[in-house]
Amino acid sequence: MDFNAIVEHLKKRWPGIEAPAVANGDPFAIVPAVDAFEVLKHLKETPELGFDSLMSLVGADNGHELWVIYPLHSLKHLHKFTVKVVLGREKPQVTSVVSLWGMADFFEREAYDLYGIDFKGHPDLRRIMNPPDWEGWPGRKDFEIPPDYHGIPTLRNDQFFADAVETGNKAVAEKEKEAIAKAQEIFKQEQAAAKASGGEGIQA
Amino acid sequence: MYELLSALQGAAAHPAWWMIVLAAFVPVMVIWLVIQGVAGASTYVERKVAADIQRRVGPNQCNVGSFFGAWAKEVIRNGKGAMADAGGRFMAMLFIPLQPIFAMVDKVTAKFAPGILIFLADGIKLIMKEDITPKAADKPLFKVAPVIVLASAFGALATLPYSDRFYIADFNVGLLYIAAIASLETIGILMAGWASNNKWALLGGFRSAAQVVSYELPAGLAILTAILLCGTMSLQDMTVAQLGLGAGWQAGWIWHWNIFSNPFMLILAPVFFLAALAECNRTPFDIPEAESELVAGYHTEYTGMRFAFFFMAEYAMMFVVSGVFAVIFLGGWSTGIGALETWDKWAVNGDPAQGFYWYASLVHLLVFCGKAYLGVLLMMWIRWTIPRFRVDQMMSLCWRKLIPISMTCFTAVGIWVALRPFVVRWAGSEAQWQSCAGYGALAIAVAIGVFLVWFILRPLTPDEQLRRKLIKETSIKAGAGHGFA
Amino acid sequence: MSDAILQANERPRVHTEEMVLSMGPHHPSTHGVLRLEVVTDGEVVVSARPDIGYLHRAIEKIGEYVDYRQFMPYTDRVDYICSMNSNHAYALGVEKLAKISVPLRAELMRVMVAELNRISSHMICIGALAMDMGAYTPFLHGLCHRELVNDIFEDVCGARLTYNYLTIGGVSYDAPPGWIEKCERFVEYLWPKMIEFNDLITGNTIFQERLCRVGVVSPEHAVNWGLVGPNLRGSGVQWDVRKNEPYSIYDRLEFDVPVGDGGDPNGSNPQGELGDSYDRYVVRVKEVFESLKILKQICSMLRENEKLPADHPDRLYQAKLPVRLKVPPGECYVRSENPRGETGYYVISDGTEMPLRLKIRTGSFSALGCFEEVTRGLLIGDVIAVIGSFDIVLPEVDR
Repeated sequence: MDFNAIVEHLKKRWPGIEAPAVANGDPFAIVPAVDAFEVLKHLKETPELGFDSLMSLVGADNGHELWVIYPLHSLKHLHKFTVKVVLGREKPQVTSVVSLWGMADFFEREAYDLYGIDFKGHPDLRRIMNPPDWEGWPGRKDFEIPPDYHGIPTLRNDQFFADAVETGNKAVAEKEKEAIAKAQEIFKQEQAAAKASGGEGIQA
Repeated sequence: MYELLSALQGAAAHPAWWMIVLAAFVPVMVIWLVIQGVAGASTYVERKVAADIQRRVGPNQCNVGSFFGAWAKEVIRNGKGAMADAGGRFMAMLFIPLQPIFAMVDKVTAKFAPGILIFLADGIKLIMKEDITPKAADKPLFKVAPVIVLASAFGALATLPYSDRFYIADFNVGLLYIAAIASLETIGILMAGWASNNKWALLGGFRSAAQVVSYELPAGLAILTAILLCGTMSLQDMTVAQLGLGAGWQAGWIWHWNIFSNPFMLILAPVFFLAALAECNRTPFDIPEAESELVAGYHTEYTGMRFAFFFMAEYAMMFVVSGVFAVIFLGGWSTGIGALETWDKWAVNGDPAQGFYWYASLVHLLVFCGKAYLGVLLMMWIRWTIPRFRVDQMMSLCWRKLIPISMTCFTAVGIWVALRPFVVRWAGSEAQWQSCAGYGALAIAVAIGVFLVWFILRPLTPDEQLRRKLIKETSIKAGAGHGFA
Repeated sequence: MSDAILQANERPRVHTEEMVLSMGPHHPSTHGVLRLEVVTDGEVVVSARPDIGYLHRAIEKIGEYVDYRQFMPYTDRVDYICSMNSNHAYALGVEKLAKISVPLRAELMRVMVAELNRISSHMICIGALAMDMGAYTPFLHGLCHRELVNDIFEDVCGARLTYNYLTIGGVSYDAPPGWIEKCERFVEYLWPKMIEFNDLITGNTIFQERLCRVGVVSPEHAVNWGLVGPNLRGSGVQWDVRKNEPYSIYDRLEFDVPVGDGGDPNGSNPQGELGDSYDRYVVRVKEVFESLKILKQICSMLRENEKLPADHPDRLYQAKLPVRLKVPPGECYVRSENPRGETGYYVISDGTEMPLRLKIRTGSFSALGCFEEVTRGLLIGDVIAVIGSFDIVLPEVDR
C-alpha cells in the first residue's frame, strides 16, 4: 500500500488524522496524541499493513511545539509510513510503544532525556545520555546550559576564548599581534643583555 | 649437589665443612638463577614467538651494546637516567673502554637475537614502579601471596633431574613432592584473589582454585601411571629406568622412553600436557586471569615487583611442568641414542668411582633443558594461536574427557605391568622381549614416517593448490614491511 | 510425593547471594566506555544492564547550530571505525531533501571507499571478537589488513581515521594517480589472507564452542528489537539496505547478502542455533568477501570511467553547488547500510542553512537495547562474547 491508501484506511477509524501536503521529502501523517498508541498498534497488527519494524523514533522541537516521529517500515510488504505526534511544551505525554516494538525502549528513554516527553507505560523511563540528576531538557531549543554541574563549569572558563566570542575575530587578531610584538621586544632585550655580558647572544 | 661436590673433591669419606655450606647455598643460588634465566629468557622468547605468529618484528631495540652503551652515555653526558649518582657515573666510566666491544657484540646479537636484553629493561622497569597496596586490601595476605606463588615454583625446581650428575635434590618421593608443592601455587592465587578486595580478583581466585583442583586429577593419574610403570617416585631413578639398561644391545635407545613403552602412555602424554597447561594457567586455560573477562584476574591489584613475582612464577611453572613431562614421558635427560648412553666412557651405567665425565653430564643437561624448553615453546605456540575455554567447558573437558581417559589408561597400564612377567616368560628372556618390543616400536615408527611422507607429498586437490599458491604469493615475511603498496 | 518435598530437594544446600559487578567503563573488552551493571550469582549472569552516556557529545544538538556542510566532520565522529559510511548516510539524507544529483564518478568513489571501510571495520570487529575470546593473534592480523585500507584512504584524503572525505554532492578529492591499481592490489592481497584468517580462527573448535548457542536472537525478536545489519542477518533475516532499497549505485553491482544459517547441517554453523553469536560473526566474515567482490567491480567501472573525456559530466567528482547551501523545508528519513547495520538520518529542514533537527539512528544503540534480554542466564565469559558479536561501538551509541 502506498502512503495515501494507508492514510485513507486509517481515516475511516480515526478521522482526526491529518496528512499535510508535502512538497519535499517523505510524507507523514499527523496523529492526535491520545490516539497515537491505538493507531500504531493498528499499523503493526493489521495483516495487510504489517509494520513490523520501527526504523527510528525521533523526538524533536521546532521552537513552539514538540514532535514525536515514528518512521515505520514493513519487511513483509516493503512499504513505509511515517507517523508524527504533535505535543505541547507543557507536560508532553504520549503512550509508550515498547509493548509493540522492543526497540522503542532506549529510543523513548532518549527522547525523554533530551526533550522531556513523558512516555506513559514505559517500563523504565530514566535519563539515558545525561546523568540522572541533570536538570532541564537539553534537546529543546529554549534550553539554557547551566553554568556548572556539581561545581564543574560547563563552559570553558577562558578569558581569551570569552573575548574572542565577544569581540569577534578581528579584535582577537589584533590582540595576538600585540602579544607577538611584546614577545619580540622581550627577546630583543634579552639578546642585548646577553651581548652586553660578553656572550654571543641567543641564536635566533 | 652433594654428590657433585663429592665427585669434585674425589669421593671423600668425610665431608669438609665448606662442602656442607656450599651444598646448602649453591643450590639456592642455582635455582634463583634458573628462575631468573628461565623467566627472563622466556619473556623474550615469548615476545619473539608471538611476533613471528602475528607477523610483527617484536623486540629489536634493546641489544647488549646499545643497552649498556646508551645508559652509560645518558649518565655521563647528561647526568640523567637510572642510577645517575656518583656510583652510577663511576660504573658508566668503566663502560667507556668497552664501547668497541659493545659495538661488536651488538652486531652479532642484533643479527641472531635482536632485543635480547628487553627482559632486563622489563625487570628494571618493574622494580622501579610504585608498589601499591589497596587501602581496603587484607594487607598481610596481599603481601605474602606473590611470595607463596613464586616459592611453589621455586621449590618445584629443586627436584628436577637436570642431568645424571647435576641435580639439586633427589628424593625418593620426588614426584609426590612436586605434585604437592606445585599445587601450593593455588593457595597463593586464592590468597591474592581474596586479599585484593576486588571482585574481579576474587572471581579469578575462585576460578583458579576450581581449575587446579580439577586438573590435578588427570595430571596426578598420569604421574601415577608413570610411577606404576617405572616402579619409583624418584625423578632421577625414573630417568635411569627409562634407559632400559637391562636390555642388552638395545639399552638406552629411544623406544625405552615411557611414551613409547606402550600405547596407553602415548594417549596419556597429551592428557598430561593439557592438565599441565591448566595447572600453569596458560591459554586455553588462562581462565583465572582471562584479561578480556576479568580485567586481569587474581593479579588485578598488583603492581611493580609483586606483579613480576606472579609473572616469574608462571614462567618457572611452565618450565617445571615441561620438565616433569620430559621426565615421566620423554626419558628425562636421556639422549635416546643407545650407543652413546652405553658407551663406557660416558659412565652412566658405570659407578662413580670411575670418575666424573663432565662432558656426558653437560650433554645430558642440554638434552634435558632442550626437552623441557620444547614443552615451553609448545605452550607459547598454543597460547598465541587458540582462544580460551569458558569456565563450564574447561570443567567438562576435565571431568568428562580427561579424567575417564587417564583413568582408563591407568588401569590398562596396570594390567600391562601385571602381564609383563608372563609375556617375558613366553618370549624367553627379558632381553628377547625387549628386542620384540623394540622391533614393534620400530615398525610403528616407520609406519608413522611413511604416513608423514605421504601426507607431505600427497597430490593436492585443485582447491588446495590454488590456496597454497595464493598464500605463497602474498605471504609477508616478518620485518619486511607490508609487502604491498 | 508432595510438592513440598520436591521443592525441599531442589533447593540448593549452599546459601548464595547475588553480587553486583560494575563491568566498565574502563574494562578491556566493553569496546569503549560502555558500563554494564552485571548482577551475577557466581558465574551466572542474572542481569546485565547497559549504562551508557559516558561519551555523549550532543552531536545531534550541534547539528542544529552548524550548517549542512559543516556538520560533515561530526558524522565522522559518530562512528569513527567507519567514518566513510557515516559520511555517506548523512550526505544521502541532505541530497534527498535538497534534490541534488551526484555525478557518476563521485558515486563510484563513494561506494569504493564505503566498501573499503566496511572491510576495515569488519576487520576490527572479527579481530576484537577473537581477542575477547582469548585469541590475540587474529586481532593483530586484522589490524595489519586494516592498516592497508588506512594507507589507501590516506592517499585519497590525507586522513587515517576521521576522513571527512565525502561532501554533499560528491567527494572532496578525485582519486590520485595509481590509486585504483592500489585498490586492485589490495583486493588480490586480502582474498587469500581472509582464507588464512578463516583457517586460523573461524574453524577453531574452541572458538566455535564459545560462540555457538550463545546470545541467541530469534528472527522475530531481531526485527522487533530493531537489530540491523549483520546482527539482523545473523538471525536469518534477509535484509540489506544495499540490496533491498538500493541507494547510490548498488543496484548496478552484483553481490550476495549472507545470512546466518545456525543449526542447518549443511551450513556454516551446524551445531549452533539460528541467531547465535557465531552466526553474527560468520555473516561479517562472509560480508568481507562480498565487499571484495564489489570492490573488484567498482575498480573496473572506475577504469571505464577514466576513458571518458575529462569534461564529461560523469567524470566530475563533485556536483556544482552554491556556496551557501539552503535546503527547502521538509523532512525525510534516509538510511544506508553501515558495517554496524543501517544508519538512518532523520533530517528536518525549515528552509534555512541549518537543519531544524538531525536524528541519527545507529545500529549499536538498538543492539544495546536488547542486551539485557539476550544475556540473561549466560556466564560472564558469554557476556563478552555477546558484546563482541554485536560489534558495539560506543561513540555511535552515545553520539
